Amino acid sequence: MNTENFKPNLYVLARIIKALIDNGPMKRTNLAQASGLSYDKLQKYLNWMVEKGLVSIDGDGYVSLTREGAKAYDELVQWIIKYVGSLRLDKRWRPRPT
Amino acid sequence: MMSDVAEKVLRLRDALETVESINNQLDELRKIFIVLLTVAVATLGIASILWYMWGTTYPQLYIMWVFVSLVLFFFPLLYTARRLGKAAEVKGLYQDWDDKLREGELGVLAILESLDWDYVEYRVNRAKTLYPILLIIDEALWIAVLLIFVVPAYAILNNLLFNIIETMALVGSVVLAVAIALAITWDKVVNKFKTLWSLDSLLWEVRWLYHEYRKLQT
Repeated sequence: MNTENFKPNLYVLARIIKALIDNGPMKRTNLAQASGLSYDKLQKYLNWMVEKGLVSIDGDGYVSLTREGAKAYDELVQWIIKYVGSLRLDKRWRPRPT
Repeated sequence: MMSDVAEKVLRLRDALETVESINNQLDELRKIFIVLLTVAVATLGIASILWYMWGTTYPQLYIMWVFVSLVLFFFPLLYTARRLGKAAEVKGLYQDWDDKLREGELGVLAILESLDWDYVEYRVNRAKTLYPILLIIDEALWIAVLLIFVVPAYAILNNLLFNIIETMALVGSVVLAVAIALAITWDKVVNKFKTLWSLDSLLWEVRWLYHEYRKLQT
């Protein structure tokens, strides 16, 4: 499948990786359930992730996170802390929960 | 670390809700203008027809013009204040952010992905540019209300002290009403100018985060 034009949603990507971090290698159906995605959508993401070397799928159909995948997740978290955490918002905007 | 991020996200929400509130009020201005124009034309039209039909037969009908003047003065005040007040209430927008933030970093990503950045930037820019209009309208409403009390008081005082009622007295009462309005609402005016300043910095922060986020996506 051609994944050249595929633009992944970072949130979905992170959910898949997080599910693999929390549960270890998983079957695709279980992974779809754990990450709250439809099987078809997960398959699209897995194709892309395999191509980018973020996950690997063995002969029994188990999906595992690669070192690259774990690193990508860490980078995502670091990005959030660095950029969202350093937003300079005026004190008049108050962090009030609803 | 994530608590800092969550705090920033909640601050951002507060800012974006203020932006929406300002934009909603700006959207409302067009409707308010149309309603006020329609009411003014209709009132004046009906009053003129009545006057031309029966004005010469019943000269006491001139009292109708007093009511027309009252309607034309008070209706815009009450209607504008009420509509702008209602438009300022922002409900439901971004309320799911609390639930999303409970997911930690995943929730922050969900929020960032759910934002229509171009739209957010447009709305912040619009709020920042047109916010002074709301400030002017707010002050104008206050001045109009104060004129009800200041004009008669100023005219009576002038008449008693100097025995004059002239145009200058009216100009003087307007100046006085403006001064009193500014004195009463000074904190509010300062606060609005600070909001305007904050909107400017918010625009730069949104642009910067959007730029960095797009880099991350690619």
